[in-house]
Formats: sequence, C-alpha cells, structure tokens
Amino acid sequence: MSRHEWSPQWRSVFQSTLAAGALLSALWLCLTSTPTSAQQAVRGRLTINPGSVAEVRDWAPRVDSLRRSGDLRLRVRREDLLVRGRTHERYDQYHRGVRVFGADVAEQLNGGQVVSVFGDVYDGIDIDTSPAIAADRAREIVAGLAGVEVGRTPELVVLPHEDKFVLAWLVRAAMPGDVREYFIDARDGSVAFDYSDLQTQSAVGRGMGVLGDTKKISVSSSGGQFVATDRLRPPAINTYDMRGDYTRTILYLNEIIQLGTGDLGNDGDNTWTDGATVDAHVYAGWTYDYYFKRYNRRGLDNRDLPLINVVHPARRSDFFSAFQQVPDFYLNAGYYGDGVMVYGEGLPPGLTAGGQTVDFFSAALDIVAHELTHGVTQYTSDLIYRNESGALNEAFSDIMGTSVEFYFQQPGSGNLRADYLMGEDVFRPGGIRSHENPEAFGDPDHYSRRFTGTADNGGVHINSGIPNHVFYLAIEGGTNRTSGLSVQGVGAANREQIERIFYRAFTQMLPANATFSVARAATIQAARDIFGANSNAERAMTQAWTAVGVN
Amino acid sequence: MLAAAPAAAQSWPERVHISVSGAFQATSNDFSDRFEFERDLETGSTEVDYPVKSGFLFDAGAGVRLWKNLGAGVAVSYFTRDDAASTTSSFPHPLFFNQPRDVSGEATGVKRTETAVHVQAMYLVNPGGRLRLVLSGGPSFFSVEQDLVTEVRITETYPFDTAEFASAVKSREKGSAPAFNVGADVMWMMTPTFGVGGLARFSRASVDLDAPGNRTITVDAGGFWAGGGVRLLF
Repeated sequence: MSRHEWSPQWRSVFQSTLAAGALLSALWLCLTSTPTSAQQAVRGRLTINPGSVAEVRDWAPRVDSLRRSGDLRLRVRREDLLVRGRTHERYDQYHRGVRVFGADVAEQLNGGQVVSVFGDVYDGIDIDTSPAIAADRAREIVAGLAGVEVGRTPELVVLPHEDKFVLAWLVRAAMPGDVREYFIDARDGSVAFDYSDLQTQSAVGRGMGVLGDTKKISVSSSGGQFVATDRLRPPAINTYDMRGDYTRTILYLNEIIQLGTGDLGNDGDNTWTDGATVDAHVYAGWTYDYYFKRYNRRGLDNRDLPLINVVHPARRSDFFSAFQQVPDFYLNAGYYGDGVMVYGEGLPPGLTAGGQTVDFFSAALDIVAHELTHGVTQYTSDLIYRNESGALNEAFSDIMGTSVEFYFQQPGSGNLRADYLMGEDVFRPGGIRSHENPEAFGDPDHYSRRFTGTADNGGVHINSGIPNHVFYLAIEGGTNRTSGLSVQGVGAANREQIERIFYRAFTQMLPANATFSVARAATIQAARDIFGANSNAERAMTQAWTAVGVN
Repeated sequence: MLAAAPAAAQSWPERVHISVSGAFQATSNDFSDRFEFERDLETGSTEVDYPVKSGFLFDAGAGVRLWKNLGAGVAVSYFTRDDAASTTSSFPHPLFFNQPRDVSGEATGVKRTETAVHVQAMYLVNPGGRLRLVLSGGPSFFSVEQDLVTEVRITETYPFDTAEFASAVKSREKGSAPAFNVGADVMWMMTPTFGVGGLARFSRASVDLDAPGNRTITVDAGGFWAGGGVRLLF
C-alpha cells in the first residue's frame, strides 16, 4: 500500500519525507534473509536402511570397517530393556577427528550378531578441518546475532549443507522464547545455517482484530506460551512483533540481525488481543487461502514461500519523535520482497490526515492482500515498478486485494465489509482509492487523463486507477464518467470470472514492461481462453477497456 | 353335544424339568445418541444411530414342581450382536468460525450383549400323551453391555474445508434393569425323560447406560422371541 491522500496541513508536515518518495514506495525490494532449508540432496550421503536380513548382513561389515578406521565412533551403548539379550549401540561419523553433523548409525546386536542397522553416513568428505576462526570468536558472533551471552563451548563440526561440506562451529543459543542452533562457518565467520531447536505444536487461538472483530488465529504453542506461527497452512506464516523498536526493525530489514521465536507475536492464554498482530497474521493466512482455493496457487512463489509479517515496526507513542526517521513505519505498509511484509502503526489517536484517522495498516484485509499480491507479481510477471507497468503492478495488487475482500467478507459499506474501496478499514472514513470512481481520490478513470509526470515512479499509484476501473466496470457494468461509454458487466454474481481473467493475464501472460494496451489484449485473450470467444466475460472486458480509453 | 369335552388334565409326575433352547429374538432395539464436543474454539456434535437388530439368542432354564401343577423356575437368556453404527458429525473448521464440516462414517463392531435372568412361576399342564405345556411368568433382570461411540476421529488436510471419517472411539458401558416375563413352553416327549419343545417368551426392559459427558442413554432390551430345543424331565 502506498498512495495516500493528505490534507494540506499534513502534506506540509510530511513534505520532506514525501519528497523522498518513501511514503509512496510500497515495493521495496530489500533482500531479506530467508532461513535456509535443511540439507537436501547432499553430496555423498548414504542412507543405511536395509530391508532384509541379507541386506543387514551386507551392511554390517561395511559399518564395521568404518568403525575400525575411526570414521565411526561409539557415542552410547545401552542394554535393551524390552528384549533380553539385545544391545543397542549408536555411533557418530567423524572426519579427521571432527564430528559430521547429522551422520550417525544405530546398531542392534544380539550376542554380537547385528540384528538391525540404520543410519546416514557421508562419503567423500574432503575438507580441511583446521578452523580459521577460533571458538570464542564464533561464540561472539552468535552472541551478537542472538542478543544473549553464550556460555557453552562451541563444537567444531562438519556440516553437510547444500551439496557441500562446511567446517563450522556449532553454537547453541537460548534466548527468550527460542533455542537456536547456529553453524558459524569456521573459515570466515558467516552463518552457514541455523535453525530453531524449540519444539512447537500447532494451536488454534481466538484473536480480536483492530476493529474488534473476533476470528480464529492459527498459532503454535511453544515454551509455555503461544506464538504467531501458523502451522496449519502449507507455508510457514510468522508474524513478528518488533515492539516499536524501529532501529531493530531496520537492522532486520537490512539483514544485520535475524529474528527468532522470541520476536514472534505471543500471547499467554491464546486469546489474542493485539489487533495489529492478529490481523496481519490472520489476513496473511486468508490471502494464502484465497490464492489456493481460487487459483490452486501455493503462495507467492507457488512453492509455499514462507510469509513473514512485521508489525509494530515503530511505536505510536513515539510518533512525533520518530516519524521523520521512519515515516513508512507509521503511514505505510510495504512488501519488502521474499515474503516479508511490514505494516505501519498508523496515527496516534486524535490525529487525522486529510480528515481521516489512520489505523494499524494490517487492519484492512485488502491492504494485506494487496501487499502479498506484490509478492505474487514478483514471482510471475515481475512488472517493472514504474510508468504503466508499475501502474499495472499496483492495479493488480488492488484488484486482488478487493477480490480477497469479496471472498471473505459480506458485501456492503462500512468496516469489515467488501466493497470497491481500498484501505477503507484503515483510512476512515473512505479509504484511499476506488475502483468504482477513481477520480473521487484524484486518480484518473480514463487514459486521456493519465498522469505523465515522473513523481510516484511515473504515477504507479495514480494511473492504477485506470485498470482498477476496468475491473469494476467489467463486473458491475456502468458508464465511464469521462468517455460516457457504457459497459455491460458480468454482474456481481459472476465476479469470479473477472478475477480469473486478471489473475491469468497478470501472472501468466504479461511481460515485465507491459503497457495498458498490452494488458487490454492479455486480459481479453484470457477471457477467451477461459470463457470462450464472444462470451459475456470477453465482451465485458473489451467494453471496459474501451470505456477507459485503452485500445 | 357340539364338541367332545376336553380330556381332564392329568397330573405332572416329574419333579424337575430342564429346557435348553435356541431362539430368534424378533424385536429390534435400535436407538440413537447425540453428543457434543469442543474443538477449535467451537462446539461440534456427533449423532450416532445404533442398530440393534433382531437375532438369535440362547436360553436355558429349569423348573421345579412344588405343589400339584404349580412350580417355580429360573431361566437365563443370552443375546449378542455386532452391528455397525452410523455416525454423522459436525466438526468446526480450524481456521474459520461458523464453517463446520459434515462428516459421516460407520463405526463397525459395535457390540450389544443382553443377559437376562427370568424368575418364573409355572403352571404345568399335562394334557396327556406325549404333550406337555408350561405356562410361566414373573420378574426378569436384564444386564446389558453396549458399545457406545464416544469420539469420532477425522482426517483433514489443508484447506480443511472438508474432512473424512477416520475412526470411532468406543467404550463399553453396562447397565441393568428389572422387567417381567411371560412365556409358554410346549414339549413333545419322545421318551419319558427326553423330548423337544417350542418356547415363546416376551420380556422387555429399559436400561440406563452411562454415556460420554455425564449423560445417560436409555436403551430397550429384550422383546419377543421364539425358538426351540431339548427338554428333560426328571
């Protein structure tokens, strides 16, 4: 979300920051760190999983050979408490005296005879085991990352990771609400891999949104409390509460620090009352649901990219001192790339902008869906964020934002109702853009009135009014106020048809530098593809584009 | 005379008689139950229809002639069936309020066992020849064991808009109740001590069973049954 209409007095107050363009740029493609997945298809991995006695006999001497060479070292030997006479031995794999992380073998013996053997070992490890940095240095690095003192002595390990082997210091750090295992590359001190070792379980909580509505929130129980991690949906959806620490928020967005379980929004009794956290978390899930159910799409990248919501990036009570530094943490929401969304705090109670109060940005379902749709665009057409392609980028986010709203909310006016306004649940009254009447917010409803300046990246939030209006006319029908041309829409009952057309065209057919004219052709083609030539949907799309002056 | 006068009833010389019968209980005792449960912040419900169809039972009894043609006896009947109970549940959606999923299934192996002890006053009739007749009636005591579905388990995957029946958790509940019985046993003696007989009896009870959620379910047991078997007179 980005374009806001301001009253003259607020325009002057925020002029400097507005000029910087920060307030208007919703799409910041900051690279953010994404937790690396666990090792997959690592070179040389041998899984020992014999399915027959003969195979056990085949593996036993090979394991014995590894044992004799010192590549396998006994970690523990235990008598079987359930079956008399049986013994269980567990071995770790070592490479030149350094343990190979995750490589071990479990043998069951009966009087010296191997009964079963299971495990994973790695072949072809060829790295030097002399660390370039000391254990204490690794501990300092982790202390800096985790923000806690680390007392435990790091262990030097060989980490099988992403088709290679890394000599790393394994450092375990316990912090409030999380326990993480860090693998610090022993050559250069970088974080080769890290993961949370805290066991969690999914839970369903009751959440109250910013506007006082109650909804289910999919969370996890962890360490005696509940944290905003959705484990019911296919992608991880994490909502981090920065607790108003904008310095830390900036550090995170610039990959200086990482966020852990302790940063997640949390609640003691699973009755969630922080509306900003609840709405960001729940609405991100709903948006995922919409894309999945409507288009069978699995998240932003269609591969269940984890979604990361950041709320309370600054503190409302610090508004007057902090706004100049971080205006977007108050009066904006942004998609930062790679599944990261940041939702602003809005204005403190009693303040208005242009006669509107501004609430927490996550309070509006269409805003959340708008931001996530920028992610969809990033992974599909990747529309360049300037001029007409940028306006199409913004329009697609608005169109999908409104579509998600209609999918989950009852049509109507007012809070928590589906309509053709954008952001009306945050900017009250009225919202900030309109599909039905773009000019009500100063946006063009006809190509002849398009913005041709350079501000706003060439008017990406202004000229989006034109395709936004096409969406409305194709559904509801009506007359374009500028051209006077009428459109026979498909009707509200068939809204889904127009949603599908835009989704198909914008995710599969548009090039990155598309113009409005290309968007016209692509959406009409999509209408033919899905609903047939001369269908009502094709007629509606054609009439709508013509009505707004795009041919 | 329009008809010959019936032959006068003769005395019943034996002191003891024993009957062992197989029979068919003709009465169905189907019942249903409904219980609620909390899940994902909402209340779900399950309705269970339990068929307890007619079926075979086993009965064994003995009587003693006490005075003239009057006697007393006791009989035990045993009835058991395995049926499949059908369940219809409404499971709350884990992600949304007020979007329950309907789940239907079948809980197999739902067992009903009825054991009844019938205490009887008897009127022993010896019409003569090989035929004997025993008319009986008195109190009964029913003991019922019934499997009750206490939980339905489902399988569900994202997006959780539907769910499938996975299994039903059952518990075996017991209850007992008094009742009454009336019956008639017609014997055809092939030797002075051994014969065959046909027996019909009606005995029916309402039994309270403890159900999940501190509830009580009242089920019917017994009914009319008829069968036959061997008879011994001593």
